[in-house]
Amino acid sequence: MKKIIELERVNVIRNKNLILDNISLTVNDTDFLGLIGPSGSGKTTLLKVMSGLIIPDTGKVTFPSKQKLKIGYLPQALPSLPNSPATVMEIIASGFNSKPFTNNKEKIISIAKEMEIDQLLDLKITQLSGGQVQLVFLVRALVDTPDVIILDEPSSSIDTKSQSKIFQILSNVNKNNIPIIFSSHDTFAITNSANRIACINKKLDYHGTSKDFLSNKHLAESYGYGVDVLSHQGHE
Amino acid sequence: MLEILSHDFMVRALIGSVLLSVTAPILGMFVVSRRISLVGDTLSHLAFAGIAIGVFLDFFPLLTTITFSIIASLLLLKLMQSNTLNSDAVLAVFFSSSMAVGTVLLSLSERIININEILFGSLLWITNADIIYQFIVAISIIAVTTFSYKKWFMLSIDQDLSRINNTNVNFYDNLLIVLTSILIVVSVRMVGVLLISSLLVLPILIALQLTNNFRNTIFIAIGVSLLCSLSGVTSSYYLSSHPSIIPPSGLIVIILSAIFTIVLIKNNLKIDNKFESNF
Repeated sequence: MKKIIELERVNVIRNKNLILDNISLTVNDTDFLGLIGPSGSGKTTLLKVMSGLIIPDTGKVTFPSKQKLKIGYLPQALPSLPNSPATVMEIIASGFNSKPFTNNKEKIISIAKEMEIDQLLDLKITQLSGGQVQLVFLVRALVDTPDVIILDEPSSSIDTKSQSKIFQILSNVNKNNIPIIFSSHDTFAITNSANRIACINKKLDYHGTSKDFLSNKHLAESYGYGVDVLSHQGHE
Repeated sequence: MLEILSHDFMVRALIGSVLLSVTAPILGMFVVSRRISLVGDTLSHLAFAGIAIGVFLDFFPLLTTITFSIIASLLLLKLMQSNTLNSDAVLAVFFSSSMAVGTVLLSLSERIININEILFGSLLWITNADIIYQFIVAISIIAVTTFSYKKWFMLSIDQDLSRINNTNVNFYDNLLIVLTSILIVVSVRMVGVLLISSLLVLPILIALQLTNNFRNTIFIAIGVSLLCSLSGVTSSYYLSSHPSIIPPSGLIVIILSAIFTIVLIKNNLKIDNKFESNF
């Protein structure tokens, strides 16, 4: 097991408000880490700290395996592109860091087929629904075989059938020792896909296996994973 | 048509319009897709102040104008990116203050300057040196865009995703605004400061109505721009009669605006018909 991202005593302060409070966390290559917490608990900030978009006010973020990680990232707020002529193919192709586009067409088509959006490749991004746009940016995050995949609410606008498909694909990617970190309010995704859970509410309340989290009834209930949810998911 | 080519100033004007038609839409595409179209207008007003400073100091006017425009445009971008002021307020301040500085300095200058020519451009004003500068700038813009295309494309989609892809967002933003400033300064003699930003924006807006991908938008915009610029310059030659000279910039922008209106109406009619046929 290899350490990929390491956070040590990370604090983030915005407008005199403490957004992240002394968070220490390690992400390993086998992790499929689900990040849970109420709205405003700092999930998006934590994902941005891990991806290097936010520099913590104090504390340290290190990448022990490599000096510079190749990150596949899906933002929570997808870009608003009201008049963009960009096609789905152009947007996905921009996810490759260096290789020329011609070598990548096959790879884009194959991942798009897996996600069942191959018929959208020639359409303009403005012609798609919110859920389809989310799928496009998800494919973009996956397409360049990243060292780590960071997804902020990856299934928020997507139908249930596509959600289970996405998490199946992500599980397969994770089997190749590519860690996946995602935030979600989706109990199905958290309880069925993630092998590790981190509960945050500005502070890190819990970080461990999904199994331990779900067996700790008091903790699970305080994060909205009560008896009803667990029995519905078949975990009781 | 051949008669036009017998005049050196017309040949220069036609070459200049071809060079501008190729380069303005390339940068215009990224300016429009970053939703900073009004920046082009403000940059041209900064160029007016730059020209006035160059004329007033009478010290390498072109170099002074370019230096001032670059510094002012970088400051403009920096202020727009900061959270202290709204972008539109920053643009408004630069827009009006550069015109004020330009007007005052040109009035104080000992050289007799025809402000109309700076504001609207003139066929007679273009020199061989202007064509050489335009050519050098055109080559630079094509070369830089070839290397920066993917970065600028991604910046037009999302800044955070660009940062994740190891793009130095500030560098590529500055590069775009500096190149646009330089293009405006070297093209001002032909098109004038008031109308040059139309050449950055209108061909792109027309092409956006006709194309179905990002890359092709640039090529279609170049085609549209070539057609309108050459028609504008040629019409200006034939429609002008001494002492009334019609500036080509006015005609080029009128043709571009007319095409934009037609394309927009046609596309909206198409959408309406599609909508009705679905019911």
